[in-house]
Amino acid sequence: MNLKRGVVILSLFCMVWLSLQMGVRSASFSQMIAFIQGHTTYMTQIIGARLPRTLMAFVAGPAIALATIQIQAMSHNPLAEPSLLGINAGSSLLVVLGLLLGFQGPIDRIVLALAGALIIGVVIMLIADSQTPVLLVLAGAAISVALRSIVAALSLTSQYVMDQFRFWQVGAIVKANFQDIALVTPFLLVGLVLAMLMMPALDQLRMGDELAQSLGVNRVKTRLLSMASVVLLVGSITAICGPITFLGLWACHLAKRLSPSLAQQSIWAMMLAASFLLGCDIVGRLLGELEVGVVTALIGGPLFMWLIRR
Amino acid sequence: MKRLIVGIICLNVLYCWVPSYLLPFRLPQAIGAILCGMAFGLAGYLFQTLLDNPLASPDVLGVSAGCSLAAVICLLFLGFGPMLTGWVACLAGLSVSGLIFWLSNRHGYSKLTMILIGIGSQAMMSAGISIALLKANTYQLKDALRWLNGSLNEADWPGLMVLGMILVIAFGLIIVFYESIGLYKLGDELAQSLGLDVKKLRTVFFVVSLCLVGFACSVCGPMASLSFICGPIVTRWLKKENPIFEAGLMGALILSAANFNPFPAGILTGLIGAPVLLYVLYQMKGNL
Repeated sequence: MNLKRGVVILSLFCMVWLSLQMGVRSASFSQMIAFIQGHTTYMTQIIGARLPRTLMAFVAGPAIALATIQIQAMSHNPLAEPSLLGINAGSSLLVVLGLLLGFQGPIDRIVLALAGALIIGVVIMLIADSQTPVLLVLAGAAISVALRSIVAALSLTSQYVMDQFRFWQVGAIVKANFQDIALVTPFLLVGLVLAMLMMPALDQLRMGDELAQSLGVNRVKTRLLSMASVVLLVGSITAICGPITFLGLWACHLAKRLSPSLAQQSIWAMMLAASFLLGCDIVGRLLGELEVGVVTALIGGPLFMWLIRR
Repeated sequence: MKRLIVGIICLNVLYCWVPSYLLPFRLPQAIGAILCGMAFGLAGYLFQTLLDNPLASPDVLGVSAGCSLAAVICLLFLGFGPMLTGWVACLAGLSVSGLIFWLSNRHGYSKLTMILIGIGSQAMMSAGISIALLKANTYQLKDALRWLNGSLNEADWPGLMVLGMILVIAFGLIIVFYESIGLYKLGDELAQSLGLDVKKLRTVFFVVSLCLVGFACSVCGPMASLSFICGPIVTRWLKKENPIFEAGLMGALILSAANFNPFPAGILTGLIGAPVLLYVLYQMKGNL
């Protein structure tokens, strides 16, 4: 187990390093060293330009992983994941709707994305209780399909929205900048704090609702606050980089093998998600600037099928 | 059922003859609405019955997404005409669904495995469509987006003929096996003990409904949510044991109505889809 944990930490460092190094103009090892020492040359400026992108992945991955851990614990469902349940799609819908109606500023976007995540989150909460794992995922898939067709329909009405829409279909961290990240940081921090506060209760909730209740966990309160945290995390990430699919699913699945307790699992899942997202971004860059959301979906789809078979 | 048929006829007569000089242009669209609507309605109902779940329709499981992915690639990157695009889309839909069927059958069939594999493939197809859209030129986008939602403007006689023949075969099979489908709804074990060959029935009707979806897609695109909404609507409305023909007619009715709006028909069906979905989810909460 310690070996595996070491590999995770090592891979995270490697991915951060590679994500700064690789690209259209890859830097050499000595240039990377120069960048770390703070010299200013042509190449170190290129590396510096990649910094927001790396930081974005470093923020987005963990946020999604944390949301996924909470959803899975809440719904007792190893297949639950924000993108599979349609929470991302809800955010996308409202953002595109906002584009259509002229709300295009960064603040508008964040508010709309949060509202979209909230609506779908409430719907999921209402139905999650009574569903078996598979049916919950099916409900989520149906929600995303329906929302996606509405988004596509809306975008047919104006050329501008149509042009924007295709970028809103997939998650991308290419256009990352420090302002966007700074703008959502407060929301992410609140989500993080809520998640940390709820972690012990969620851990007990995993053993079953009745047992947890007899241990003194307030089930309704835990779920409400956790869902709020999920909405904050997923909504704000979707507002700045679009829907990123399947990421939380694999991170959480692997993290479960690293530790039994939920709090530790979530830390490992966050690290795994960050390095996965950076890795997918690097793969996408090598394949000719494919958006990271597409790469995660293309790798995640088969992995999801493989998970089901077991 | 009578009311449904009367409704379809009225709508289409109105659509074609008012004003009357548009008849030659509007007739293929009207016939297309009836045939495609029936195909999607029947296929959706069959899927939902075979998988025993109102949410498991071809569009949720990625069959329609496979069609649109192929169509978008043909239009945007290979520059194919509409006719050839239709055929390629149909083939792609069939092969995607064949793959889903094969993967879920490999270690013994189970409804849930098939549903989940369908969801996985649906997500991948959507990712593929996103790539195609991102790499496309702005002026080509409108054509491609229409393929994502569905529209009857491209309906032509050769495609409709093929779809019509498939529909006739499907109707024949459904009439022959009508009782068996009723039995199948009782559950695998009970149906088997009553002398039904469950596996044969399932295979026959999956193939039939996949052909229906594939060929209908080749005529009018995936037609967002249409195959999903017909089943729940007729089940709720008619309270009949096995409303399979009614589901087909319902599809035809909805598409005929959609012909009247100025946007592609897929927009309307997509918009109807969301409330129906909410209703189905609400129902499921009660039952499960």
